[in-house]
Amino acid sequence: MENRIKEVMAIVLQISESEINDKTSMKTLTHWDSINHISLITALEQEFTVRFNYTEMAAMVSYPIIRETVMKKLKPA
Amino acid sequence: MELKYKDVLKALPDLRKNITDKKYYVKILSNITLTLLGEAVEYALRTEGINANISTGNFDNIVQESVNVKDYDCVIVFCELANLVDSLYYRAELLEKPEIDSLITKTVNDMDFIFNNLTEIPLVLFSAFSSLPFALSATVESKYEMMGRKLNEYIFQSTAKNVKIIDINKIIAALSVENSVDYRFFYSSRSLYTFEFHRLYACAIAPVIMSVTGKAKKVLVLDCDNTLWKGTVGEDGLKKIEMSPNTTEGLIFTEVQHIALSLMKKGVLLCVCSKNNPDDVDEILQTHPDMILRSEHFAIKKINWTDKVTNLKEIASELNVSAESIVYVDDSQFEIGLVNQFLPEIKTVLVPENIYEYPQVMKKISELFYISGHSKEDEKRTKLYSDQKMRNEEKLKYDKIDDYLSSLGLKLNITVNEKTLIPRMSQLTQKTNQFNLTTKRYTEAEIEKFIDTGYFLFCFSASDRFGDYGVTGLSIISPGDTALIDTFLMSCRVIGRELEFVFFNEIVHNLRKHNVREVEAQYVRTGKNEQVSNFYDSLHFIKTSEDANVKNYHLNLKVFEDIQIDYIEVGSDGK
Repeated sequence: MENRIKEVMAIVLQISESEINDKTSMKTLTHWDSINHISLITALEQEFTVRFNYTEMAAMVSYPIIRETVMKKLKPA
Repeated sequence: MELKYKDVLKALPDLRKNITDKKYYVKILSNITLTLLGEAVEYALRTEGINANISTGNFDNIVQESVNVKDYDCVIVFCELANLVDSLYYRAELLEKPEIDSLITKTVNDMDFIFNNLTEIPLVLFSAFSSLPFALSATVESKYEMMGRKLNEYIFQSTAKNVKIIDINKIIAALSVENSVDYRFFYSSRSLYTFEFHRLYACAIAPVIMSVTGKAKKVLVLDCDNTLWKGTVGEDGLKKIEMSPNTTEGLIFTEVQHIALSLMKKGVLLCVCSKNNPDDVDEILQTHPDMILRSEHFAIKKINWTDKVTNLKEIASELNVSAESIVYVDDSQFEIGLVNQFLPEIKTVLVPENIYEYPQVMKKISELFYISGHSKEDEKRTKLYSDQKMRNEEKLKYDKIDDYLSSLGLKLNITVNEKTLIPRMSQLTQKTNQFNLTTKRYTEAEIEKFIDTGYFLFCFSASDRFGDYGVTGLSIISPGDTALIDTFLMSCRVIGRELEFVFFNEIVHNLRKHNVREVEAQYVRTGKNEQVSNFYDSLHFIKTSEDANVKNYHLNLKVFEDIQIDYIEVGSDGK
């Protein structure tokens, strides 16, 4: 699953998968702005067939948080 | 989900590398955030072989940027009702009538200004207004909805030749509001529409752009059994096949035949290609009471036991079109697979297993044949091609091509700056690939501008004793002491009759009358127009320079002598 997240992030944010680590965030990547955030959320939702709510969407500003949020979504209730 | 956003992003780098055609520049102007539209449009165009370069204007700067947009092939204007003025979608209900009226007037003025600024752009795609994302009730029209309706009434009657209105209500209807709109992104970033919406929007505009870049489909080839009718004539017999509006399944085939016939009336060439006994199919086409399509509707009929690939190749060559311009419909997975493998340029369509989906599939492919500025010439075209078949058959009887040509009774009628032909002139520039010296594509608006600025636009219509070819030749020449041949083209259906020489003779006579002394001309190689690479040499032009793709020529009209061809009669009257 982590690889799939990295793949999506790499494609949308135009970086290589190997560059993505726990420090990757909106702060460290100039290309990850609020507009590209829409693209990223769209791509992640399509990839994992999930839907993030408003709060989740706003919080997903770094790779670790994205990983955590996606994992929580996929875990059977 | 058919196609994910990720797949689009993944495919783009390769699509960017593989297309080397002339670049097609698109600018998107919008008053909302359309993050995903640029990529969706680029993907849709590049998968059709258009070398699209997309750039997006600044947020909510449509009016300002329309002043400075130049040198683009296409401008997409996406003016979202919700953001016409900030937060209109909720503010409208509290506005008083005078405020609403003045806002409508202002918007109309803005649109006029925008269209006026964009008159030089060959193609402007303007999204119609939609109130659906913020609509209230089916029984009550809100003020917001009323504004959308009134503005739409205005734009749908817009007559600017370079403007096409994209009715996004139809896209929203196809997807549902829920799947078209993402309110989360709207409230966070003023981005209203989903990826799916943008993808369908891109699919909707692609045929328009294919048409102006000369990539629209021209020929629809249909199989017979279980494609034009239900059943197999060879096994079930003539009486058992069905295409009657009075039976459940026959009804579907009747509808499909209607769709095909209406395409033919819009200028699409219909052909049949079927493994069958020719007499059986002919009998059905001529006498079956439930048939909508008849023999005369088909430009070519290939009813034989030869494989489909060979037949389709022959159809392409007899019609003088490239395989890329053909769409082929068949109910057999085997035949479709074979064509996909050996003629991948042809767009194939499999009759759906759920037969009730068939008409929808046909309607969808109808868009691929989009024809801008539909002209009367189109309706005649199928007849022209079937006449040409008669000619080809007659061709065999003559030893020398001159004997054959003089037996045809060829006639050429030439017009200069004939405004009623503007749609046809534009269409000729957009559709002609082979006999086209410079391959410049022009919209109707651009053609009109040539006429208004003193250019000479020569057209010819040709006929012979078998029939009328219609308006099939065009040359655009700049005014001046030394004139430049901007465009010289001829429709592929009149190639091989030496008409181009007589046409050129007449052009020279006319230019001399206007005191033109010298002519410059160019051949621009495209990969499809190799056959005319030495055309100007054959007219005794002098080559002044040459590189891999362009040859420049010069001609002194004083020393030009008419090319002698005595079997083509020239007229300049109405007929």
